[in-house]
Amino acid sequence: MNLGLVTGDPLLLALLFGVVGLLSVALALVGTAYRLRVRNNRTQREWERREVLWDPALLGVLAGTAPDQALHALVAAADRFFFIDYLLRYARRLDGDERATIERIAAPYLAPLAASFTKRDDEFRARAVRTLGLLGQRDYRELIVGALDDPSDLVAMAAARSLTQSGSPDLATAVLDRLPRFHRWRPSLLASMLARVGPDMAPPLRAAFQNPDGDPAARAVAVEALTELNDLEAADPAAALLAGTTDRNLVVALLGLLLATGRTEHLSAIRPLLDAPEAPVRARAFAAVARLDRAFSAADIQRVLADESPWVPIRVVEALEAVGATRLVAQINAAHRLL
Amino acid sequence: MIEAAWKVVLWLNILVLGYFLLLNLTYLTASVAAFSELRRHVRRLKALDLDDLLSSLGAPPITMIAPAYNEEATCVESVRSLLTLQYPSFEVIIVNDGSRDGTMSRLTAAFDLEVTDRMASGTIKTAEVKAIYTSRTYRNLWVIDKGNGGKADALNAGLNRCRTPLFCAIDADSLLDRDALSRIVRPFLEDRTTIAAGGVIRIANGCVIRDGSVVEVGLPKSLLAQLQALEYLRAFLAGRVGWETVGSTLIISGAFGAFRRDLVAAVGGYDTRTVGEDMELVVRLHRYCRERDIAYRVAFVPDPAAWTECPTSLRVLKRQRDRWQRGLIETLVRHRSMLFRRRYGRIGWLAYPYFVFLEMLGPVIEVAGYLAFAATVISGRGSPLYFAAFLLVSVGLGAVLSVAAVALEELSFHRYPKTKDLTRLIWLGVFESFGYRQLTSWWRLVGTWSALRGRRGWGKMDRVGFATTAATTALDPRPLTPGQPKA
Repeated sequence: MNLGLVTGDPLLLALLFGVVGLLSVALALVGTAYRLRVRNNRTQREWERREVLWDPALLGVLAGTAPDQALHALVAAADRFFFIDYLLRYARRLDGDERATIERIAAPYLAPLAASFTKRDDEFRARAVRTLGLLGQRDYRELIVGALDDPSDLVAMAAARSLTQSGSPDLATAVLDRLPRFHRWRPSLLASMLARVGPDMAPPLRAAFQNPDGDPAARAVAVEALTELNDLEAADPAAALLAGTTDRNLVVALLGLLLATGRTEHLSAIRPLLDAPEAPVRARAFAAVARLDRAFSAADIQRVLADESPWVPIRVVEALEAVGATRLVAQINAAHRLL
Repeated sequence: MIEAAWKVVLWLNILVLGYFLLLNLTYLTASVAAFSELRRHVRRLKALDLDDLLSSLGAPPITMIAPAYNEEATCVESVRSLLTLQYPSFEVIIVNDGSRDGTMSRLTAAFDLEVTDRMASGTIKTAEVKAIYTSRTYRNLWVIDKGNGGKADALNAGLNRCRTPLFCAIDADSLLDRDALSRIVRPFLEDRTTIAAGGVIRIANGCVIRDGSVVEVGLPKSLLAQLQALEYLRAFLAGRVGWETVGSTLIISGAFGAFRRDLVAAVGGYDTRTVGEDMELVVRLHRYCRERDIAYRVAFVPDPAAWTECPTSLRVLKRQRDRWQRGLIETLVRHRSMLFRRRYGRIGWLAYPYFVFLEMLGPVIEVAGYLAFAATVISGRGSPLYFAAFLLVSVGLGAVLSVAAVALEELSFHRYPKTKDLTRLIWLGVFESFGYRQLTSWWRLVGTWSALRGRRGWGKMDRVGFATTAATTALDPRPLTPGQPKA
């Protein structure tokens, strides 16, 4: 029995073909690697060339010493998408009049981007929405709001971020109405996005969390956003809602809001939750009580330390540290060391 | 009798050929999948404004947990490097794992540490915690001083004191890109079911390091380190990305991985009985979630990078590979009930069999194959043409896979800006088939034998540290922290 291969053997021919094939693939890959390297280097050089060309003209336009056309004249047809990217860098860093100038400069170049919006893949559409949101929010508002219903999460999120960055509560409310659509995204991120709109966003957020027919997860996000806004007006409805709410995440969010904005009269709504079966609820409730109840005492400390969840004393200490109650913190730490 | 023996050799040849084809087919498939995934990933990054995404309060707070053992030479610079990471809200917990040198005193002096209280949020059993310190200068820096218990034990001690929803396990001697935290957290923002995410490990040898950051990337001077640089590219950009496309990430390197704290605490933290605690944890997380029907995702993110120093001597490299193989075997044996079980889905039917049959048993088959192959050729039962054809196919496939990884790097992140480095990497793809591959297979076989004998421990490792003040890598020999990335 041999493993000999002889000339003309079909197996040998197959192997030879295999070797030639592999060699071809390897060479093609080598070619690809170098081609990509050349392309990357060329792209970098091209960017440097464009920046050298466009920077002085853009500064002139921003300073009001040159008309928009002076800059537009320097943008070749083939460079228009690069030009949009170039303006994007500035748009993110500027605001006020300078930002408005950037948007004005970009305006003639955005139409082709908007026109090709529906034709391309998720990543392209998301990038287009982000670009249009930053550079052409006013002209392409409908397209961006429509993108909230895009089948792609990425595109919808790009639209949501763009609308909440606008600072307009009307536009951000469109996002608020569609919060369940973003159920996969981290709730704290969604809350933060909505809070960025500012205090004007508080009324729709209050309405959203008090809506008994609303999605509990979306209501919890609205509460978290109000917590970030430190919205004092939300405290009363939050306390009122605590008793009848069963969704754990919503309860935790409401307690978080009361921890930040509550008053002593809300303690009666919070105290029953000190015996809640879920540790996160108890931890938040204890923290809120420690923060709001001026009569928080040694007996309370014992109860905190006796809790089966380590998170209860941790959250209480954090809450007390936040209000500068260093004496109580020291007491808790001292008692904890003895355990 | 002799004829029967030759039959065995023949079948061994066929087995090796089959293994060889299957292994390379898997690698090729992973490379092809990685190609489209990386392309998409790069475009996705352009679509997301990462800085903006994370500039808000919505970025989840994260704790960096870095175990340190006898790190007096570099611990101060490493911690300084961690403290300069760009992320809205993070804490750093350094766990001094019973160092016998001046690690603790150096940290105390450099960061003005004071003893403090920090209640434990977890109850994982660890070696005794002697004291907990906080920095008067950096309020987000904590140091846990504990008795020696090994890397997993140190990570557990850090986990017990972690209060943020996410934590990031890193090696104290690894350097992270400034934006690495922001990038590794992205999957947790986009998908609330994400429980773990791993980043890329890259080789720092040959790079210019300034103020704890890699400022210029280059290939190492040492041939051995160059070969490892290529290996890491192949393992991360082709292998890990490939597995990510089918949702079957089974390894997150201990040098850089982010996790949801509550889930890791729920599964009992890191396993102190294995040297492959990083892989074991990920496998256990898969198992835990699947057995409880918890929707989850373990992600691999190819853009955040941790830079680590790789061994430059054969002796140290051998120990590293030996340990990796032992860790792999310990993990796979411990969770063997996941193999071909329906409830574990793609993990049980795809990733686990791959690691068992192609990675765990691979060295045994490979080395047996080399021996059978040599016996066949020497005895004259295999013609020189057979030898030549096998060699050419083997080298060709190896080169294809390596060059594909280099092309993937150019397609995505092109971190090696010098063209001569690119050329070097391509040549290494051919060169590594002559000796290096066989050597690593042998070391892995030795690791298999060590595992069978029940050998434990990390083994002593000597490494050359990073320079942090000069613009080039320095040559201060120091011992290795017990923690190596698995490529």
